[in-house]
Amino acid sequence: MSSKVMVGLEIHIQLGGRKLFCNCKTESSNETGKTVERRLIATTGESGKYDPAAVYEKSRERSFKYSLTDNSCLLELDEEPPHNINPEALRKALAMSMALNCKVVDRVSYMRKIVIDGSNTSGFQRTSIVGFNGYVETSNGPVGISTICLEEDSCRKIEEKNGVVHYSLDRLGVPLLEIATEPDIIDEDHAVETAEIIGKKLILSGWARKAPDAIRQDVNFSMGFGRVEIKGVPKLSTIRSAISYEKERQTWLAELAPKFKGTDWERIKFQDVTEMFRQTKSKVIARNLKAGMSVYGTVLPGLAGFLKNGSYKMGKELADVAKLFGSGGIMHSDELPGYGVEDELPKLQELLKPGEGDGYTIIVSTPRIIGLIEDSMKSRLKKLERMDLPETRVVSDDGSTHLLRPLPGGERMYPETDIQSIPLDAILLENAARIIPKSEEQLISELISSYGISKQDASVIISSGKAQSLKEYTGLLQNSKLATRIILQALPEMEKKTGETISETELLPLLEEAGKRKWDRQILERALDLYFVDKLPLANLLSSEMIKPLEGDELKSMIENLDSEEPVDPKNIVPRIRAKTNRPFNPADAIKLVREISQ
Amino acid sequence: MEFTYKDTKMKGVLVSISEGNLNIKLVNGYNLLVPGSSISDINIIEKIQQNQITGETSKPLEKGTRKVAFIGTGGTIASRVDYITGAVKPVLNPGFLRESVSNLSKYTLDINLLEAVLSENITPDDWVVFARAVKEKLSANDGAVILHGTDTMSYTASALSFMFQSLTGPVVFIGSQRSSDRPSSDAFLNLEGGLEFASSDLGEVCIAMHENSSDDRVALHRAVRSRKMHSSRRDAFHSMGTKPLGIYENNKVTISPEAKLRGEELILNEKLETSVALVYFHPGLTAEDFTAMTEGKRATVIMGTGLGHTGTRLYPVVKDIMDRGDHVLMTTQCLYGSVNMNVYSTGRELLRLGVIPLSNMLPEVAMIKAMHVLANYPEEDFRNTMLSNLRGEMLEREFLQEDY
Repeated sequence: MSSKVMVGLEIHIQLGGRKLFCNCKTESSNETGKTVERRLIATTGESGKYDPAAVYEKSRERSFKYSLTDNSCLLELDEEPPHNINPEALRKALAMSMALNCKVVDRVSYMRKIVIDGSNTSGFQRTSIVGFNGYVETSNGPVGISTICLEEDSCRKIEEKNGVVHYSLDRLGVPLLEIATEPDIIDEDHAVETAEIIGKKLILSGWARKAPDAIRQDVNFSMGFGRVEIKGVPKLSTIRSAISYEKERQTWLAELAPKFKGTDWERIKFQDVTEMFRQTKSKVIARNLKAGMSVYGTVLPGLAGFLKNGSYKMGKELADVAKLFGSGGIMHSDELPGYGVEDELPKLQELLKPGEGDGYTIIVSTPRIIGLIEDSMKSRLKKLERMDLPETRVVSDDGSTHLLRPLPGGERMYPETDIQSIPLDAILLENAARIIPKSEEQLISELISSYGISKQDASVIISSGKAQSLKEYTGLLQNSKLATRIILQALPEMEKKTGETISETELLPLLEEAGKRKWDRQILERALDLYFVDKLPLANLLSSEMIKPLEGDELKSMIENLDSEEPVDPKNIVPRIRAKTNRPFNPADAIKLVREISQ
Repeated sequence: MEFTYKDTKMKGVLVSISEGNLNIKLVNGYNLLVPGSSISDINIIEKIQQNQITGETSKPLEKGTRKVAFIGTGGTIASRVDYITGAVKPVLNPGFLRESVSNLSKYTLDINLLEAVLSENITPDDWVVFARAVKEKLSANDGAVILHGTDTMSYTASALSFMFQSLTGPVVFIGSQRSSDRPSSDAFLNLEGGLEFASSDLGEVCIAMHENSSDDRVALHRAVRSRKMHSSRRDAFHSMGTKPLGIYENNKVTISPEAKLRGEELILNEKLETSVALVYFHPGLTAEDFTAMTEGKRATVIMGTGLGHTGTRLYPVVKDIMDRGDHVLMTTQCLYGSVNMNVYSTGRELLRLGVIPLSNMLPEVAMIKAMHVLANYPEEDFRNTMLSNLRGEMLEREFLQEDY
């Protein structure tokens, strides 16, 4: 009964500059070392009903720890009401709506979207529709844009352990444009193409934060069994593999579902089997037992041969449930003996008594949690038997998807009473229309004429989203050729050497000094090397001998010394000087001096 | 209903209409605010009764062994926004409370919801109503919690503190800085801690609120030393110049040995003389302003500068007030520290005029105490009573603390 595949995308892009409802910068350079611990309570939306995702999160009883950063204030801590909306972010959201052929609302009215996984200190995300009913042209015809929302980004997760989720406040409140398409996308290739077209518009605008995770995608997938939302797809290639994975998964689930009819899932009852494992050879289990955990086992009615066998992966479906409750996963009969578990099996089977077609599983957990896991496994199996598949899933690097939580409903939305609705008047709209992102061709010719750079350089700068950087660097250095070289050569080299992304917050102060001191290319490149590769602090760098250029008499005497060791030659003088010193010098000057000396 | 907005067919529930704008909840959960004139092709599919939208499940509260009176007066903690009407409605949905306040099953709540008032609208008449409600409930319960808006919570709590000469159980005011319709509300922990304090051996009026920004500690402040010191933070309430009277942490209450324990008898002196002025002295305050503010007042509490000073231009007015038999009392606008009017000549001059120096009593507390003393003590005892420490409103000793 599967029908055709329907895919929609939600593309999220972070806007750089200031946060959406306070005056904090979107970039952070450090944490303050202070933390705050909180809990969140599920509340009802305006219809008075609990949201399923919220109720589910509540059952996990987690608490949350937040690290304060230099770009967070009382608002991110949920200690004060939102300030006025960031007008630049609103203007950009409107302009992007126009660029994607959307209608624009008359009034922007903010909503609270309940999210109680701790990723928002308030327990909700502020979001508003700005544009709707637009489209982009693709090779398979137009793909509808259902809505464009301007929302607050959530906290960045640092780690989760012992029921405490640790977040950083640096990302919370960063303006996030959410562009949602209609489910008009027909397959993997079409999804990638659509994401590319929208992504390019965003990159060309130059408004995105310059950070690796500035653009994130969610994929909405359905093939007749309800909508599955796949969160956090980082790369275009992962869109493709996530869709393929989900298509396969739903296909084999559909094949199995009829075989499950009439299975008595209530036979799943975890029993404490810790004693059987006291002498276990399994390192994982031994380690967990030492940490005070217990081992539980249960029969899995009718699941033998479906847990991990060819394309069937019911074991994964059950492991997903266990993992949500802090367990490392499960070990099941399709893969046992294995993982060092073997000697225990006869005793285990004797206790669990799996019948014909029954599988069984063991799991490491605690008395407090195991009941929750048992209930969740049973209700998951009942859902899968009904082919009731809607849920939120998350993607791994390899493109496989995993259960994250139930799909949230409209119940989770209610009005943000702290923010008055914002009327969009003609002036606001005109201002937005003036900054509608230009096409690639337009931008390239603008760069050529403003900065006197080659078409090829302009094109690379545009497509890598660096046009704004070029403007900024040129302003600081008063030299567009040097700025271009920094962007296209020096920085990529630094990133290759360090294996890290060069952050603009660190780079800009150095460029400012370079501009003031009128450094030439040699000095600046030497300084970049010392700053990013050798990690020399800026103050030390500025007073360092190592960036003092070797020139005039000093350069001349260096060449004379070299000449006395072995006669100098214009062809090899540059590497010979480099072998002696790592101070910057102008190669042309050196060659000129060699010629003078040789005459 | 179905409708067309900007050439787009949409479906949603009409929630409300105000100032010509329709507030429509779309099927995706977003609310759209659209001018009525901009939508067309309206097709009403179904009419939903309002109570169907606001309907909340209510299960009876469990009956615990500890009995606490639960008095609602309004404020953020006692209310949730009704998204249909924009009105504020009482929070007491027992099912919701039970699921959100973790220790509720230990308690039997004796509930009395008074008419909800925003705390900025509260007047001394309301203090009397609240005090009577406490008196009525306290005999049958271990203690009382009072839900109150935070803006004037210290005023109300201080008033009740003076009105109750003796208490048979704790009276604990609880507020919240984040309404309980928010998952991050501080109300739940404040209620949890407040209930524990309300079933302790205390015999004082106190305020229970977050001690810090985390959801881990609730501080109990003696009403007459408490003050709201931040407009929005959870830990807005401070014990001024001293440590909190109690802490609730990890399901356990710790009470300072300085706390007054419950008495045998409940004594309420509810009379108040409200003709008391509270005047903030500042460089621009003229003698005329001061005259206008103190006219007809039985007592005037000045928030003086530093150790308790005003400009000499006010002295003639102070003298006039004294001559007509009314009182002038001095507190400090520094809020931390005592007045001491012996150090500078201006202070000594004010003392000579008959101004009563109120040590480290908080200005608002001094005003409320004056209302109580004027109405309940003989006129000739006014000065001595104001100077004696009735409810711990003055600190006998002050120590070096991080925040004063």
